[in-house]
Amino acid sequence: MDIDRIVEEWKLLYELGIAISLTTDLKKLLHVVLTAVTIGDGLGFNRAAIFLYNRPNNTMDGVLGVAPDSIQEATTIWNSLRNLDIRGRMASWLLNEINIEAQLNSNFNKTISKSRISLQKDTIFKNINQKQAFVFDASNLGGDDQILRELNFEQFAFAPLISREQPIGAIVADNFYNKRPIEQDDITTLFLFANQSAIAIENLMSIETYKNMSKRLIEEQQNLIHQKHIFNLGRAVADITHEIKNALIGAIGFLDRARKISADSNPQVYQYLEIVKKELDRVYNLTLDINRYAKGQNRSVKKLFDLEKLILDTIEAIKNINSSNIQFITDLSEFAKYLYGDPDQIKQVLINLIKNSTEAIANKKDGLIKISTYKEDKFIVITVEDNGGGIDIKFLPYVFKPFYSTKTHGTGLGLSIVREIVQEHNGVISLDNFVGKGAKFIIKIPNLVEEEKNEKKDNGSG
Amino acid sequence: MKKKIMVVDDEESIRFLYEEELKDEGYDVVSYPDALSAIDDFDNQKPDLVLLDIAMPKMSGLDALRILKEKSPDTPIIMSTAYSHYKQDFSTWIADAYIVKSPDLTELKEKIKELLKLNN
Ligand SMILES: Nc1ncnc2c1ncn2[C@@H]1O[C@H](COP(=O)(O)OP(=O)(O)OP(=O)(O)O)[C@@H](O)[C@H]1O
Ligand SMILES: [Mg+2]
Repeated sequence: MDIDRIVEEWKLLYELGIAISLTTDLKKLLHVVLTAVTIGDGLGFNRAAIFLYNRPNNTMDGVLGVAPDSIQEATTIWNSLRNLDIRGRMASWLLNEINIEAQLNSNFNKTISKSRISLQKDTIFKNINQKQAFVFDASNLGGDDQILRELNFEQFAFAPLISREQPIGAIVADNFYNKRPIEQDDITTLFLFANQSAIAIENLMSIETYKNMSKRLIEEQQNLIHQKHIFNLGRAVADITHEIKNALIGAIGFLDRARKISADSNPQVYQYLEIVKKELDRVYNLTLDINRYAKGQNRSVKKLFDLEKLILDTIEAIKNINSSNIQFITDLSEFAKYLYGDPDQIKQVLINLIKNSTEAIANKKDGLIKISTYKEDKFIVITVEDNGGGIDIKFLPYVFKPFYSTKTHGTGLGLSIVREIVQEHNGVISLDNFVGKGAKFIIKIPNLVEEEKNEKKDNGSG
Repeated sequence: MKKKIMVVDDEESIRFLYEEELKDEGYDVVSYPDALSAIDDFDNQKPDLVLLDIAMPKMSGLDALRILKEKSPDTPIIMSTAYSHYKQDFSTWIADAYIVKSPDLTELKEKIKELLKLNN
């Protein structure tokens, strides 16, 4: 090896080194490396491929292959490169002018990037542990190197990618098109270049893992902060409502006494106090709602109850306080007459849903609320449907969230409580939303009575 | 003879409300703003029934419940609080009854009547 050649070689490695160190994206780096291996002014191989070591699977995974797909294509590329004369500006050419798309689309790459070679089996890739590059020929291929045989690798160079003493992969390259024999000098240069590349590849891989890791960490941390925030908020809300509730117990208690006293003696005072009571009752009920939510649901008292009656009674009660022109329709199946659950809680569910519906149709002349029940598989289904225009798509993700409300006087707890209660009954709630038309809330609660009966039947016969 | 009820609650207006309402029902009522003073005065007053708030500063109603039940196992004690989740708390099980505070005292009055009748 004469001095000129050595100087040339070092200049080349130096320029390639610059290109590699300036690449910050792992995928692009792989293209830069293999292009450098394959261009005439670079290492001058015809075809090259990178395999990376997959530690968990103990396999070598083909990640990229760079090669023209035919001798014609090869000649065209070489001619155009020859005219380009990129010597001296190799780094900037590699960084800016590689046709990544074309490289990805080659048949060679498609075959390479599909390949997984197990290191448990008979393969030349076992040589990644050697700290040197080799010239192999087809007779060296192992039983599991079918992929290289398919791609007609005959004489080829094999260079392990070693970073910090650890093998991270290998480069395989040959002169498939011009059949130029691979010489010891080619191998030496490839080995040096492979080492340079390996460090860069590993660095970018660790940066990538690190990026993913820190992204996950940041997400998790934000989640935690959010949860803690919600938790603190819940605590604060519970404390405040406790105070408000206690204050109201005294206030309403004495108000009742005052009302009773004034009932006969001063009808006007009585009437005023009546109004004060109505308003305070509203606040008081609100504290009960918030408490139920913030402190978690009271253990429910479940039993078999007459769902049909509960629905009809609830509608009646709501009609009495809501003297507007809302029309109620019911379609209650005899197969869903009874439900196993907590009647008070189910009543709360109905009230909250119907209240929302009445609010949605408040400004309509032909407001309609339809309540249906039916049996479906192992579920009792209750639906509450209205023609109040439905929910704006952009609000949909939030409606079940506590304290979310689009109403001036809403607390935004209605649907959260509904969902809590449904979950407490091991049921599910869903929403059919018809934007511009109306909303239909669908509640499915396991029909435990039926199951119990079936179990008994099973036991009896078995 | 009038039955005597001992009311323990740190909220002044609730205490006063219980006093007024229970007096109207025909009971003698003595009331205390904290559990310690109630326990101190217990032997002196010999109440027929105790109405005990749970959430109080200094000594909680749950501790007071245990002490009073040791002193006088037969005196019925009604625990009262703003939340119903205390029902799940074992330490309230030795109480004779349990009510959730509300401006509507009907339930409380019924419980009192019931317990006093039982104790006769
Ligand atoms: N039937 C419905 N039609 C249209 N929008 C609805 C309907 N039900 C709920 N929404 C929307 O979902 C939001 C949340 O409902 P939710 O019952 O949880 O709270 P709210 O009704 O605003 O307040 P609260 O029930 O506490 O008084 C409502 O503000 C409303 O925008
Ligand atoms: Mg609502």
